[in-house]
Amino acid sequence: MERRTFLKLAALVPGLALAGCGGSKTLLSPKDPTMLSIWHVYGEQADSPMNRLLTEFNDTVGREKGILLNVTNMTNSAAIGGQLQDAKAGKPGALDLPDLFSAHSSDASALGIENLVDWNDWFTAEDMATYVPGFVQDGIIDGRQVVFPVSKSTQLIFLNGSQYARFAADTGAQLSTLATWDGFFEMAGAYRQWSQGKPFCALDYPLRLVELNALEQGSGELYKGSWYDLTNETFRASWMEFARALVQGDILVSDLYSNTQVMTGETLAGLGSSAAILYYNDFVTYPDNTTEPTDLLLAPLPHAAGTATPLMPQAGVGLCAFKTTDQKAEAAAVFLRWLTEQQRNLEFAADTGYMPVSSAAFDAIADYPFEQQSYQRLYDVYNEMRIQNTPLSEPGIVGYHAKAKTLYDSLRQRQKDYPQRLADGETLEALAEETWQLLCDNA
Amino acid sequence: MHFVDRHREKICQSPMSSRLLWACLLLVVLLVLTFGAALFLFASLHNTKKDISRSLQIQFSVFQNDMERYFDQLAVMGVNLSEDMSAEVDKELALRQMSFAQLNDPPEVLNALEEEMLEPLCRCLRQTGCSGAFVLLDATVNTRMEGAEHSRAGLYVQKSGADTPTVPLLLYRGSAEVGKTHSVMPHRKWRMEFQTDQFPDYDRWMTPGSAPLYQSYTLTERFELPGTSEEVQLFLLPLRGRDGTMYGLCGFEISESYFKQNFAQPTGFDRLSCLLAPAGDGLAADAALSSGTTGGYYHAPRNTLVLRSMGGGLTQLTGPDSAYAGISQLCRLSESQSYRLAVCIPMADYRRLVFSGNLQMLLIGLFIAFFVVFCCMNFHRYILSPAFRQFEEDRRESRRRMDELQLERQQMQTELSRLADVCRNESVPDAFQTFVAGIPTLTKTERRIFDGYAAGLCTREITQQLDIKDSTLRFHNKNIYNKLGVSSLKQLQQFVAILNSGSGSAPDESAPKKTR
Repeated sequence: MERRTFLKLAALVPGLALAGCGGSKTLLSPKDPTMLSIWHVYGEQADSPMNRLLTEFNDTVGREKGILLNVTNMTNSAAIGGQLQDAKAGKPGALDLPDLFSAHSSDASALGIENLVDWNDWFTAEDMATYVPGFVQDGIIDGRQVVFPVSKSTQLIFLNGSQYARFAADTGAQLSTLATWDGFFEMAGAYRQWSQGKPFCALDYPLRLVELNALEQGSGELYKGSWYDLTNETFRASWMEFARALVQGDILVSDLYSNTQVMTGETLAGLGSSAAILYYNDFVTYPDNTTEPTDLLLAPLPHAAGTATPLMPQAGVGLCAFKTTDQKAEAAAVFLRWLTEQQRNLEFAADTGYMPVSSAAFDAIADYPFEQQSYQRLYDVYNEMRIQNTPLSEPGIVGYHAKAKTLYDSLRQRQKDYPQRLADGETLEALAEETWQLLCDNA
Repeated sequence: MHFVDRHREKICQSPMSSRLLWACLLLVVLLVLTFGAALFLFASLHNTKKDISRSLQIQFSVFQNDMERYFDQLAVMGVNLSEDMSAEVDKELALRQMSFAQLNDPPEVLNALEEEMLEPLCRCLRQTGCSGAFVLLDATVNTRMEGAEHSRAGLYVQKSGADTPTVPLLLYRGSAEVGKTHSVMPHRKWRMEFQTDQFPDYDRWMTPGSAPLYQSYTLTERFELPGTSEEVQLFLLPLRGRDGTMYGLCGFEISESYFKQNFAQPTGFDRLSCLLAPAGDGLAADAALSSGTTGGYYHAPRNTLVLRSMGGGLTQLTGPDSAYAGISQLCRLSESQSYRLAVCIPMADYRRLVFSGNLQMLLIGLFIAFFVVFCCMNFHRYILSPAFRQFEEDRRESRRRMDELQLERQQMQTELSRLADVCRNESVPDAFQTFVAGIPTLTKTERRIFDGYAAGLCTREITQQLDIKDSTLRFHNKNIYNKLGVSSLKQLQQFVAILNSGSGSAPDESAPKKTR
């Protein structure tokens, strides 16, 4: 072969190879799968629909495109921020940082948004327009879409239906009383008397309820720095309403999750995330091991009496990804696109008790054939709240959740003693004021 | 000028043989180095399958060692737990002067017992590599309740997340009040008592036995923990009283996620699965605990995998929708049970590794062949061809020179003959006539010396050959010169040359011979 011909051929072969590569835009390869570790909060300690979806993804789209997701931590939304910080700091005993993780906006901010993937790099404006605008907006920090909406929740009242039926039969109580906070506290007092001292309701996020009550009464801006504006009188008045009920033993801050206190018969109701429905047992078990059906009842979140702007909290984590390689970011984007497809998002929401984030799925949930009656009730309440209330996102203040946790721990330590102290002669106002001081101490 | 250039010039200026020697040496060194490199590479790459098999054998040994140590640790902690919990029951029964059968129904006694048991159980859980720990008592708080025959009291505590030192504990089964007192909050799917109908092989494990505790532990089959989607296996030990009464069971929970998290293996393979499965001909992947790699890979094989030898110590593990290559062996991890351990990589990875190994060898072989051909071609082109051309030119030059010399010789001989004829016939000098006439007058010794001179010998050679002294030679020389009429050796030799070119007498055969 002539030398010149050989040289031409030698130059042509890599050229053709490069031309071949140039035709494909994806960085993924089924022959060399991209592995993504994930921390999530869906179904900790219980059946996890998210894990089932991950398995389905790995077996279908993941296998086809070369993506393998691996759950390395299942936790809860309150704890995940701290765990991520520990992992980032490399604390002894902490887990390795994941590629993908569930997080609130505040958790994402604390990790540094420059360290996180901006989903706008992987989703077009048309893509993002298919999601509920308010949910998308929740994940934008400094103009970057760092939290991708997967599911959203609100807060509801869950009641032990069997026990409530007896209580209602004896006292004539009506669920409609729970429409306002005044009615809620009134029913709480009545239940304590009827049950001979048992608290009516365990609250998972009492501070959020105090905020909403205050905002509905026109409190205006509530925050100052990473905590509350303690000079806001409306906020203080709202706190004192809850504090009085707490001091009397009508309500309490949940030990960990309000659903466990309902399941053990300790309280009649639990007020927490709508997603808690996943965790309610079918039976309430009393200390003598007798059980009765939970027959779960649901009621919308109460409002301030006479408010013109009834609010509904909009909570729930989204998915974030640490910025590592474009290959991993692309893999994460493929997974998110798959996870939030209309039908899948609808089924996931229906399984977990969350609100779907796809606009089409959100509209379709009203007609979804639920297998369990309690889930049907849940979405009936959702729809009622959607029509009547204005959604309000959680504050994305860095450090807020840690301070709230400290306050809740302080209240948990004291709340059992308050009724006795009240009985021993301390005044209701003094004890309620004591709780306000606990809140002030966190500033 | 640069040293190399100078050296090259020096070589170019050196004779051809020297230049060839250097080039040959260089070629030999290159070929020897190439051969050595080829030997080295082929030795290290000679068998990709064997290399994969060896790597998997090492992975298997590490995994097997992990499992043996893990079972040992669980057994030691389990025996301690069983003894401690049994002692608590004995103490409570003694305190209340009750028999174990009387534990049924009074909730305060069972609560008190759980109160005593919870702290040591939590301590044991934190000290043991597992996801949960439990004590099940063969008693219930309410025998009148419907389904009481399957309801058993006890405590079941779980780690609430990944196995970190500060992980909170949760009460999955047991008195919620007791748990809260010790900051062990109820699990999301809490129930007060165990449901024995959801406990794998409960009646079998509750059968009293006499084997010592350290021989009585066992691992249950994998099952889904009621109310959750977590798959677990329980490491069980009997709970026996001092009198041998069967109090219940205790042990540890090993969840699928715990096993995955804590037994991920460091490896050079991209994808590796390690399985602890029940013993059997096949590998029951659905009933196995599995782990991946510390690099983050995890994918649990499913279904029952059929095992088939692939040779070289490797086993093919084939399922309905997947196939793996790896090592699978039955191992005895407890006194009563064998388990099937396996480490494997996807068959696609195995084939890719083998293919890339073979391709690598082929490319290296091709490269070496190409390199050798390249060296030989260049040696031929830059060294041998010029050398052969030079040889050819030199040969042609030599032939030309020979021809010229031959011609010159012929011319000289012609000239000499002409001169001899002239000397002899026309103008032969008297001296030469005297010379010719004097030759027969020489004595025998003189004639031999004369012939020596005629043969071109020097005086030293003649004295050595005739074995005479220099003075003797000089004496004979004088006589020879006188008889032949010459005045010097040079003149004598000139006349001999003239004589030889004509028909003069040839030198005597007995004269000294010129030696070389």
